[in-house]
Amino acid sequence: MALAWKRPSWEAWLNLLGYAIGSFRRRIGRNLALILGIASAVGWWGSVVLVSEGLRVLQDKALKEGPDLWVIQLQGGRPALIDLSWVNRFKGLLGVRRVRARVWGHLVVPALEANLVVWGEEEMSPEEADVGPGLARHLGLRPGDRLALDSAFSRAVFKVRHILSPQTSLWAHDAVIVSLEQARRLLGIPEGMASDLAIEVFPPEEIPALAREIASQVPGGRVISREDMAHLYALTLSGRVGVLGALFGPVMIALFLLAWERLTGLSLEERAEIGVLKAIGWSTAIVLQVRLLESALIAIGGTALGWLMAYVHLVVWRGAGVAPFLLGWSRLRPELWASVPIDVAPIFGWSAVWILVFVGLSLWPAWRVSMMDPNEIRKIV
Amino acid sequence: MKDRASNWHRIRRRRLLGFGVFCGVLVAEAAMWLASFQSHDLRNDARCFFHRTASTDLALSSHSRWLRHLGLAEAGAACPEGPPCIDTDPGGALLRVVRFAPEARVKRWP
Repeated sequence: MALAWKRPSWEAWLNLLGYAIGSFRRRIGRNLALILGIASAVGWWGSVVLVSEGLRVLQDKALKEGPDLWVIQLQGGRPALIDLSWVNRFKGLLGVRRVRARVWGHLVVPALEANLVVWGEEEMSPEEADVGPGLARHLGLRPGDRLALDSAFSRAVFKVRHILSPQTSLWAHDAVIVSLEQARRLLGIPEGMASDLAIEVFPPEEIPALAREIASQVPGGRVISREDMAHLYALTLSGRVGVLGALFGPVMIALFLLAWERLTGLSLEERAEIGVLKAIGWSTAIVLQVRLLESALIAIGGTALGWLMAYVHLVVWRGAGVAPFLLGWSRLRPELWASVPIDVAPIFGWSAVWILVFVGLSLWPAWRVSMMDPNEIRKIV
Repeated sequence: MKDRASNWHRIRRRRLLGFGVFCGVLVAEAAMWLASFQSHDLRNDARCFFHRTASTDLALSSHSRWLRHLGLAEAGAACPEGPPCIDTDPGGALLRVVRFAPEARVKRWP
């Protein structure tokens, strides 16, 4: 007669765990193969998730620090310079707290085969420049060094005042901040014009109304709100992850086959083991508990190994194979690994998915066999 | 019976010891993750850069406006890129873009 089920004590759980570990060791080859299969799938997907989620979370925070609206002048569907007279007109609108005319642009540096982003700032001295960490590293610049910038419009030599902190790398890696006049000269932006306008709005509830108002005033103007930018970043990063997810399909199929193997086929040895346990009086619940512990060991082990592989892939191998696809080609790409935070939420979320699915799938055949009469199991075996 | 019981206890102790090692590896891994976990709060340096430039664009793909200046990318434009190189994949690419400008063939600085 099967023993009646009651809540096992701590001691009983330890005994069951000891037994489950013994079962694990008896089928060590197959279990290690399962662990490696799970680890490969978790590791590959984990790398993708860590990069994209880290970037998305960080960029959401960054956008909150920036302006609420950007106004870009379009001409023939292409970005053009915007007239500074708009600044005073927008300042008069209700809800506008600050309007800044941004003077910035790209500058090709053939020697680096890279583009810099030159920013103009009012407070900067015309002889000095602040340099982004990536550019400084590529050119070996230190504060006090001289930096010559050439463009089709002008040539200027600057004294490097500061190297921007590596913590700004994600945004300022390829940046050079110079005075407004120098930026105008280098980029060929005449007085009275700017690259675009950045507008701060208060209260935030006024942003949609102001965006509509400004768009209606500027002929050919495009107004982009902070929400638009957040949406664009989410779309772009998610789109990239989606493509990688499609590539990930074969791995998923492999894992599904592994799980299917667990679902449909208990080996004769496993059936015999369950039959013996039932015959000596173990209840179905206790048999399932042992099975649950063994499956949990495999799933947790595989998932943990997978995240470890993802970590090594990102930190040691710099996300080879994943990062270029997610981030695009660039000569001056920021040191992502020093800047992007590791987001814990997707780690726990995806781990829960892997572990629960695997454990759930492996319980089903055990339950089916353990519900059978021990004599029937003996006959089958 | 007593021998069998003590033998079982010894085996169980060894298995639990193995399980303890397994848990220890998990804890070590968790500690490693936490050690590498950086606060999601932006550093003051980054905030300062945003305020100076009024820009929060990510410095990714500096050869393309994609991601670098996402808001400026013109959807459907034949050649959306400023420098003389076609932005072959507005969503980023595994391969570097083709260079057309002869001056861009200058040898890199050491």
